[in-house]
Amino acid sequence: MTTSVNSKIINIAPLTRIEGHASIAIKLDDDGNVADSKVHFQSLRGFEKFVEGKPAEELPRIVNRICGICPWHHHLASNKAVDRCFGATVPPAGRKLRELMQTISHAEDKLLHFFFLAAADFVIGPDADYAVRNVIGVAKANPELAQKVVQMRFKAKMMLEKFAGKAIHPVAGVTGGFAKPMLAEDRKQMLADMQEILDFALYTMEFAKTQVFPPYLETVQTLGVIQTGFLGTVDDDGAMNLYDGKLRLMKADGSYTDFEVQDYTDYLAEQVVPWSYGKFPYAKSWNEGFSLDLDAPKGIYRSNCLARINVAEKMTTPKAQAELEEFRESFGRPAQATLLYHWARLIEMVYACEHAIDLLNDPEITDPDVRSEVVPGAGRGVGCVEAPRGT
Amino acid sequence: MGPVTRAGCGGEGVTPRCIAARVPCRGCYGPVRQTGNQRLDMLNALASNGIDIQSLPESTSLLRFSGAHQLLRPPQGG
Repeated sequence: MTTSVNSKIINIAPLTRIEGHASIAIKLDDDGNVADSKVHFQSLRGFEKFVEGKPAEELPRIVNRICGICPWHHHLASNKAVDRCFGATVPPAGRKLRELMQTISHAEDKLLHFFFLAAADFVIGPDADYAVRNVIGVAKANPELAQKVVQMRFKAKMMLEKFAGKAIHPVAGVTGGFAKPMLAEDRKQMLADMQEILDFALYTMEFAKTQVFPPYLETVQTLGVIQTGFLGTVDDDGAMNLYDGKLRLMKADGSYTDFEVQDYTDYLAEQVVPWSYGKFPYAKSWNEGFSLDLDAPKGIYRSNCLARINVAEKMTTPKAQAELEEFRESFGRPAQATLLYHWARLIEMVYACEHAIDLLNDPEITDPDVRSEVVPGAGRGVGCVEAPRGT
Repeated sequence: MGPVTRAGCGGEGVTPRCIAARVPCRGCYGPVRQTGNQRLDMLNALASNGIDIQSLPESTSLLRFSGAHQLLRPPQGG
């Protein structure tokens, strides 16, 4: 961290607890109070441009390079787009295998985010020196737990690698379905592993609710609270869905509109700003323009776990549903406190583990018909899934 | 990718990762001849099988066989 007193700008660069490259510039006024702050995404990715001219079916193997932490989501979103473009119909088992891989990927990501990226601020404390307020500090404070976290994440990653060949930069999703069927013995082993990860997810939820969050509940409800809309995917019953469904765009007052993914340009648009390579999607359909004014944001919605928890009527699995009810009783709907993202993330972790087990228990998951015949052709296709940190 | 890589990405005796997922290998990670030229090897393989490179729907991706491995050096001081 470098501090420049004369210019009254505090630059924090690089940001370390994120994926990718970014910095924050905090501008201070004459009294030393924060006047403005901006997040700069510093790298131009360019995927939109350099995939031009490539065979469409190659895209899922190219865009999975966008992110090493959540490659499955890029892989599957592009697979869905190409399916749509070619008019391919994915057989039920192919769809379920894709969803299973994505769901396991969500489960392990929650562990990573909560323990590696977020926990230091809560476990070591927000006032601790940043030299110890990090994942190594967490590991030293509770080595037994840290070891368990690494083991559980490893187990989930290895489930993906063992079945789908690669845990990162996956290739197993193919146009028209999934590249391989699941055998009975794969399923048995994965069920046992997933049960263990679910047990740990439930432990983590309880641990967080009893030992991590309580001292900070007041801070959570006052620090960085902004009033925005939310976006997330729900199924036909309004239940949260990570893989497929319609998009629900909710305003800060809780009213919402549902729309089909294919029609997204009627509802959302992107704003380009001069100070960041990141583009800023906003809700065009609200007809209020785009403003990042913290007191009166316009067109601003948030995505990611708190958004998904807010837009969903319910969860399809019992333990996650119980957690959602408890959360909603305490924080309302929609919950706006930014730090509640951590809580929402753990609810999603419980859901992901339960849902993966549901998928594995579905007899259809071992159906060998995983991929349909595909005829390449020109077309338009939009693909969308819920990624751990965005739609 | 016999003409270009000498084994799969897991090394000899290990099923390459994409093959394990029943997806065709495209030779992205396998070990290559240290003194070889991957791109030339690939073009030779296409030519000797009667495949005209101009007929490929997209050939830019063959640039992944760039021979850049020859620029890699062991770290200094071990």
